[in-house]
Amino acid sequence: MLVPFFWMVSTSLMDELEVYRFPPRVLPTDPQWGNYAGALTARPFGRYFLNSLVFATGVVLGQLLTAATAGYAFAKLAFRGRERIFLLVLSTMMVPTVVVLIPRFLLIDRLGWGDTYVGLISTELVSVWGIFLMRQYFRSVPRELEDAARIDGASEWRIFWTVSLPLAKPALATIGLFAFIDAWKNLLWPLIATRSMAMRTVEVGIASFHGVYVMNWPYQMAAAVTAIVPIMILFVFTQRYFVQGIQLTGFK
Amino acid sequence: MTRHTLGVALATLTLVTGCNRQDGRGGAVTLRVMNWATELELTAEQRIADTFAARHPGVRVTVESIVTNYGEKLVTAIASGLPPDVFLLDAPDIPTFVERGLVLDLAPYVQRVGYDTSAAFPRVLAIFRRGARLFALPKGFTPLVIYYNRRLFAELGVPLPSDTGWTWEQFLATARALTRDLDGDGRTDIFAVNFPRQLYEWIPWVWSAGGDILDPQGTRTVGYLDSDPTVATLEFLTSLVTEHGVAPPIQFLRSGDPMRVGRFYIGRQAMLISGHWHMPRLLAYARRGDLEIGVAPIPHREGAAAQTVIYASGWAVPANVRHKRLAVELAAFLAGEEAQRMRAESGLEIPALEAVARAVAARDTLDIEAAFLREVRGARPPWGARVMDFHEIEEMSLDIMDRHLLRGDPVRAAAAEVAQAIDRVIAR
Amino acid sequence: MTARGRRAVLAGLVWLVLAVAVVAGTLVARAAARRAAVDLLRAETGVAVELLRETGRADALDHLFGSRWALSDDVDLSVDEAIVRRTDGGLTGVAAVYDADAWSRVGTLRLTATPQRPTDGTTAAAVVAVALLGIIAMGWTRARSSRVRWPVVAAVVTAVPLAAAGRSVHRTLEDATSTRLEVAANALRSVPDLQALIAEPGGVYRVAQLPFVAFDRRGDVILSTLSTTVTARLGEGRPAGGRLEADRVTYAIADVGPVRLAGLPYEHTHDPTVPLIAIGLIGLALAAAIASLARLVDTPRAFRRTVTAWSFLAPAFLHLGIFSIGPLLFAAWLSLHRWSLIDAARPFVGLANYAAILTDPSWWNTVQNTAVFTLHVPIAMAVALGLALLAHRPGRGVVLLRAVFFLPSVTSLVAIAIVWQWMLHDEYGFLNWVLSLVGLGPVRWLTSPDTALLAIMLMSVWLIVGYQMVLFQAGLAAVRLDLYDAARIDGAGPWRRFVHVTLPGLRHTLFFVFVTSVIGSFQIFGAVYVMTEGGPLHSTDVAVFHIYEEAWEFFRFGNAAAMSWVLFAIIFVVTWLQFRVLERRVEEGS
Repeated sequence: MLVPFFWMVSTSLMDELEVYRFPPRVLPTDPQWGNYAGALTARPFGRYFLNSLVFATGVVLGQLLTAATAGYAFAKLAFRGRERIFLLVLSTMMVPTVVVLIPRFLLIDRLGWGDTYVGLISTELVSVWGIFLMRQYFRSVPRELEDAARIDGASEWRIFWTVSLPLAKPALATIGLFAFIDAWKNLLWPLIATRSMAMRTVEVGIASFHGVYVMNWPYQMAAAVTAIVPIMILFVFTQRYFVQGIQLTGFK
Repeated sequence: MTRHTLGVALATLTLVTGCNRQDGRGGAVTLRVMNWATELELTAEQRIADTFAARHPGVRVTVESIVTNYGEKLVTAIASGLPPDVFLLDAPDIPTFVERGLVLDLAPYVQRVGYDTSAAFPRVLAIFRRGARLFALPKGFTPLVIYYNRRLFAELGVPLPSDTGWTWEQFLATARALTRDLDGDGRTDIFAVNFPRQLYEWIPWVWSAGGDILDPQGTRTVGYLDSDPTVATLEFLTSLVTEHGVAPPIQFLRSGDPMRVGRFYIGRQAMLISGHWHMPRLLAYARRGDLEIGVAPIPHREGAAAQTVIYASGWAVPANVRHKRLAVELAAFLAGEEAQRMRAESGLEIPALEAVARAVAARDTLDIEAAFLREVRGARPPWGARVMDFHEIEEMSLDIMDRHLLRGDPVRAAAAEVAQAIDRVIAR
Repeated sequence: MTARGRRAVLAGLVWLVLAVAVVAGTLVARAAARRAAVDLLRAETGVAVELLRETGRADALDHLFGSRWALSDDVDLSVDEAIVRRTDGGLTGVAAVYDADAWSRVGTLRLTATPQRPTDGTTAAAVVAVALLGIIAMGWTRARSSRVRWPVVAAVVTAVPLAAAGRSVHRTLEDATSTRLEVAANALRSVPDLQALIAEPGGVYRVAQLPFVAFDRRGDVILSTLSTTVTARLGEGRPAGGRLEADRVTYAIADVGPVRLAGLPYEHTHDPTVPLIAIGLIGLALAAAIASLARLVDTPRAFRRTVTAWSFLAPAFLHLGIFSIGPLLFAAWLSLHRWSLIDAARPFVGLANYAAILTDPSWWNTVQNTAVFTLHVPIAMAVALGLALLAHRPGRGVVLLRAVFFLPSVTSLVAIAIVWQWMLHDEYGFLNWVLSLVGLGPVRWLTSPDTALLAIMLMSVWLIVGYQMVLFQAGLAAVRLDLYDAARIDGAGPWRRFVHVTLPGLRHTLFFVFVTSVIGSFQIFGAVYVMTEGGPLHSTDVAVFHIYEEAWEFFRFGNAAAMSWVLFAIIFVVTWLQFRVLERRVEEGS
């Protein structure tokens, strides 16, 4: 499981030629810590990290909102054609991204959002995956509490906000986490939606070490390893919410 | 007054066409240059752009480097009506853009902007020409050659290849002498050469056998791709793997197995079929004493003349550019001598201007650059620079040798079938 | 509010929505026609300027434009291309005039035009339509039955004026294109110098916005090699049938012979069809939504519930409509055309793209590969579930374990694919090294058509396990602990507790993970793109990679769009089956 990462880190510290040695080197003989500085200054990675962070944060906030509300409606509210409409929503997940790329780009371009954060974020605000997840989650949560609130005459939005949403923290944490990761790892959309070098994201930066004819393995791996760090921190942080979820639902 | 009218004009334009863009506002002009520079070239390109901007008050030049998915990005930019002012055009993309009328003919302007066409290598310039028209000013180029590891040749006691050319038989004899199982475990430790699987690597072998893959007009492959000299070439190349075992077992990964160059870098492969792109790396390794390299031509079949291929890239201007004069001036500057000198240090391509290339060669104590320049004589432009849909032809042609190596299909039969399939695509 | 009052409000809403749709559609159509007029004038101005530069002869311009043109020596433009300004009473095209070298600006040329008013008929139609709608809506409020089939009526009433608008604009745009080509052809006829230019072999001749293409598609061959079909269409300079069939039309030019002229066709400029259809559909969808609400007016609770539900759905739906369903419909429209994305022409080809796909064995090979690839999903799920159970207990070691398995999910896909190229390397690879320890191998993972897909599946399991594990954990968090306790009291062993408590508790999550993973695996792209490019011998050629190549390498976007729809249909059926078969069971379990 860890071998590929071991290889990544090890390679990121190797001299360019050492990568190719046979039999393969497990560890760099002389760790080249300079690779990290070299890779991260070869392109403006400071700016790229900021861009990725803004992009991913915007996407997370948008997806949390839309997934929670829509997921709640699909799971807890009765309305005409619910299942059919859900299948319609789900079907938008089945469209290959490469197809919607062009119309989406032309759209944000017409709106004057080309090369801006707004343009970058706007297309990613809804995750059908997230809606589906919330639907499943809300369905598996017992409805006693909501029914109690309903009997008290609370409005549906109030029930959603004060009763159901707090119960959904594990699912929300999951969606937030994956929304962040997806945005962070997205390569094609930021590439297409941005023009200037200052608007690129980390993933685009990593890919740019992979030239048409010439590759720089250690630099690319150094950049890739660095890019993992923020998400792993986020992951360890959201861990607590999964644990909290256990306590919340387990009290009955 | 002028300002005012300009403002009105722009405002009207915005209202009427809805396609006014940020540039041109407030009198300052921003020119966008698009290329695929990696970190090896980016600094130089940025410096060149800054130099141009410094000489043109009120002009800003931004460099947009797109390393992966360059084609997608360029095409999207053009489709959305916002192309860069100057962009780097790869030889295989010439038909795609030129035949659709998307690229400005620079021929009427070259003299005005002080670009001396006679200073460029004629064969390189010719790649971007159509009749009297010229669609890009060449940046750099490379012929396809064979690098060899001098030290390994010496250690194994194999004579170096001649600068003036060698036959298949001489090449094969050399290759066999270089292939070694050092520890006697039955596995080859040092291979002679990488297997040229992609069309861009094997096309000069075909030419150097007197064959070709398309008719002179570039309209059909039947009778060419499956002709005797072409089939003989592909058989010879696959035999390097199957019969002679001088090339490592087939490498089927995208952009090649990482080891196809790696093996050569670390001295486990004596020769490398490739272009000038590897020079920055190889020179760095040579300087610190890891490698000693030389360059030899592509071998030719007995009785045929050696002929290699030149790959090139050039600076093009979109046909509907907004600031034609500035854009053309910028393209000329990017391709001009001063820029070429600034760029030459990165060494990824051979400068397209003869004087600059010669100066680089003169500085090169290893004599490798001179060997590259020798190859330019008699080299041909690639088919991709002439033929529409060449990407697809290239892709489909992979099947010929793959089928032979993986399934044992005879090369001739596979070539005939693939040629027919390609012709169907061309006819569509 | 009474049922009657609610009905009145709803009727008003429907009326409003449809009226807005019709008005918006008419506006869009008119704007398109106006832009076409602007485009035409801009092209004409471009031609005029180029003519002046190439020949220096004013008589050629008089011949073409009469007294519409004027020349002044002021230079007040910031751009090189011709632009159009709105002046009182019409439009004026403005362009900078260059010296003979096409370099220095020497003056400004102005060309005036009075724009036609092509869409007046549609305005009238729109007014009638809106009035009709009003009547229908009013009548409907009084109707007792909520089963009035008025949505159908509304659809027709909306569609007719929109279609009329679209049609009329279409014709205007077509005319604009053919007028432009004719202007160019006349220019060629009337100016010998230009003919000399054209007579020179091989190339694209661009006159301002209008390229004169005088060569064959294959390269340097020109006039003489024009195919017979094209030559047969030569007429008086008017394309066959008096209508423009494509963007390229052959004209007979005296002394030169047939010359093919390529103009930016109307589709490329401002064809309003797509926005019109979109407006119509949005209007209808809204109207239909309101209409379905109307059926509930007599049951206030259901009515309120539905309104509440849609208030929850609104944000997501709005976004999906714009950024997903919109592009999807665009793809559907595109799939009926042939388009290279950068070509000016987008000829309509009907179902030809679909026919080509359905009979193409290489496409079905990719579908088969994709289906086989999907088999990795259940395997990954089993592994992930095991891991999730293992990690579903407090403790530091467990956090570490989770983190380790989650690492692949957070790593740059490009980097992962590269690492796995090394892992799976025949000679250097870790996998073959492990195999050699137990005396096996070496396996030619990525270099043999028999194992390449398997190798990618292997990598995908590794990649996806952490992601699924996290979802299972979140699901486990919702399993009620009291059930475990109850089971334990009943004397159930670990296996029975798993089967009777854990699995039922996880059924929603299991269903979710399965459905989404299958959808995701049908769209596998990145790993193939970086690692194998579909090879060796097409053994890893999967559907989305194929679509990608078709679109971006071979520039057949129409084909790619059609493939996407076929793939979409396949995934839809597979998912629908899962819902039919599995979700029922999931629900029965609750």
